[in-house]
Order: sequence, then structure tokens, then C-alpha cells
Amino acid sequence: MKTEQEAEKALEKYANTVRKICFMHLKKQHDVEDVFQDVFLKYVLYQKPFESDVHEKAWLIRVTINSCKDLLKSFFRSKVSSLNDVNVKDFSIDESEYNLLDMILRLPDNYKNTVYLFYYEGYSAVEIAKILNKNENTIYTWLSRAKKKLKEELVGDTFEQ
Amino acid sequence: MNNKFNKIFDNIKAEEIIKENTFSTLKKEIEKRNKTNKILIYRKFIVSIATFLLVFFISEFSYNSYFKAVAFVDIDVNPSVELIINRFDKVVDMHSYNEDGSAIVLNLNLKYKNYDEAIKILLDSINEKGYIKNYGLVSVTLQSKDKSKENIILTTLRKTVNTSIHAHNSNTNIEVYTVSNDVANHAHDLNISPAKYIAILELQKFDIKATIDNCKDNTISEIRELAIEHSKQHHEENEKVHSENHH
Repeated sequence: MKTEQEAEKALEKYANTVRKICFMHLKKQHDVEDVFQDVFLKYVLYQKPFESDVHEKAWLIRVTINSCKDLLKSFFRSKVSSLNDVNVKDFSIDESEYNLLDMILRLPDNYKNTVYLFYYEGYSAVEIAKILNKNENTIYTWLSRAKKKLKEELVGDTFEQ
Repeated sequence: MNNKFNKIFDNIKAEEIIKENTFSTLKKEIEKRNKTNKILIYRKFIVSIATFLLVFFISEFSYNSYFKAVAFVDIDVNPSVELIINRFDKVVDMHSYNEDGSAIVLNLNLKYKNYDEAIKILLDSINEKGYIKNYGLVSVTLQSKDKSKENIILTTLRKTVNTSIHAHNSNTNIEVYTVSNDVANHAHDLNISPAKYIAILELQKFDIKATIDNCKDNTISEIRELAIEHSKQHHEENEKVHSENHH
């Protein structure tokens, strides 16, 4: 079991990453808190040592995605399916980006995670396959389909540079 | 990384209140588990000690129970040997009073055998080495701490000894009898068999010069012959004195 100091250090380092993933999936604030506690408690209780910071972060991302998934299995929980489901104003996001954000939030969950990990966190398709425990080809397919959807919706606009 | 994605997601950060609440919960959980671990470790330690003590005392009890002497069977031919018997009628130890006895005992493994079987093997061995003579004497004594079993053991001893000896020497004299704890204890203190001790005491009535040390290497037969001889002499002297007094 990890110490209080290790828990505090992990929170400082990875809280934002966990929050971003929760942002894409969870509507309610207390659901976000539930996932936070679940993820970091699992971190504290995880016995095996991490090979590196990269390994540690990938582990936390996977646990967060799975926690969100588990929480949303409940009948009474509803997930984020558009911009209307989130409090955008709490995060100082520029209005010019609302369109893209809305499109991202409308994607199926697996596509959401894939584009986030690929375009924001900078993981390769191979690395994303390991994190999500999926076949590499599946990731390429999801990425391709997500890009296609985003391009379709953002006619005349690009999200890739 | 994609600039548009950066612009969106860079601004999404964990609220301080969420971080604080999460840390507070983690702290409580860590403290609770540390406390539970300490209690568990303490409990495991106590259980280990208790188990150890229980096993120790059971072992001690079982060991003491099994190896506790309930009867002593002393066989004196000239090799003089003692078998110590437990409540389960098993031989748990052997003892020799002289060199000949030691030589016999050294080559025999009688431990944990039933006493009647052990006595048969012992007497066969003594006989093979030529100690049991025609018209010789085999003395067997029994000191029993369990009076309820004394008669049973005595009967079995008589039967076993008679069968074993007479299979080889039909003219050998055999005596099998019980002795008191007092006699047995005195004999043990002097490192001689109870039968020999009794024989020496008898001799001492007629020969004041007879001591344990100068008689212990004699056979019981020899001691008894001496006792008879001294008794006759003593009687003759008494007769002589009586006759002189009358004249």
C-alpha cells in the first residue's frame, strides 16, 4: 500500500488527466468525485511497482476509463452525449472551440477515448491498443471512423493541423 | 499534438475541491488500513504464540505421557538388565547394571516393542551367549507403579520367562516376583538389580563383612550359596555355644 505522500504526489501529477477523461464521459459533479476516489484508491492499493512514469500514467488512464464505464452501467447514471451535458463555462474554454468539443462529445465512447489519447495525450495507435486492451487494428479503425465523423460535421473546418 | 485539441483540453483541470476531498478520503483509508494491518499483525503474532504454546504443551504432554515409566522389569542372570515399560505396555527405555548386561543391550533394539516380546528377545540373546546354565538361576523382578496392572504383568512375565528359558534349558531355576518401590529404589540407588539387592541383604544377616560392593559382581546364585554357607556356620557356632553352656 502506498503512503499518504505518494498519494498526494500522484494526485498533483495526474488529477488533471483523470479530470479530462471524466469530462468526456460524466455529466454530474458527484460522479466525477466518485471516479476520482475510485481511481486514486486503486492507485494507493496497487501493490506492483510501476516500470516508469509512462507506465504509471497509462495505468491510471486505463483505470479512469474503466471506472467511468462501470459507473455509467448503472441505470440511473447518464453519460455525456453533447456539449449541453457539460458546464463548459467552468473550464474557460474558448467559444470558438465549442463546435469541435460538441462533436467530440457526441462520438461513441470508444472513439472519444481514442481521439483524446491520440490527439491530446500523443499516444500512438499501438500504445492506445495496450491502454484500452484492444487489437491495434481496432484502434486504427476507430481513429479512422472518428476522424471521418469529425470531418463530416466540421465541413469547411479542420481539426488537424 | 493537435492545437485545437490542446486549446480545449488544456483548460480542463481538476477542481481544487475535488482534489482536496479525494486526498482526505485517501488519507482516512490509508490510516484505517494501517491500523487494521497493525491489529492483524498483532493478532497473527498472538495466534502464532498461542499455537506454539499449545503445540508445545500437547507435545510435552504426549511425550511425557508416552515415555512415563509405569513398570520396571529387572532380569538378572548374570547379565543384569532393566526394561522400563509405559502405560501402553511398550518398552520405552533399557538399562544395564553390569558390563555383560551392557554388551547384551547394545546389540538389541527393544524400544517400543511390547514388553513380553522384548523379554523373549532379551532372554534368547542371553541364552545364545551362553549365560543361562543348566541348574543356573534366572531372577526376574517387577516393580509396578500401577497396582491395577501388576497382576496382569506378573502373569504375563511368568509365562513368557518360563516359555523362553525352558525352551533351551529345562533345568534352569526361574523366579519371577514383585518387589516394593522401596526395595526397587534402594537397588537403583546402588546400581544393582532388586533381586541381587535382596540376596545381599539376606547374606548380610549371616556375614557382617558382606557389603554391596564386594558382592555385586557375584551372581545371585553365588550370593545365596554364600548366605546358606554362612547360615550353616552361624547355626553350628550357636549349637557349639549352647552345648558348652550346658556343660
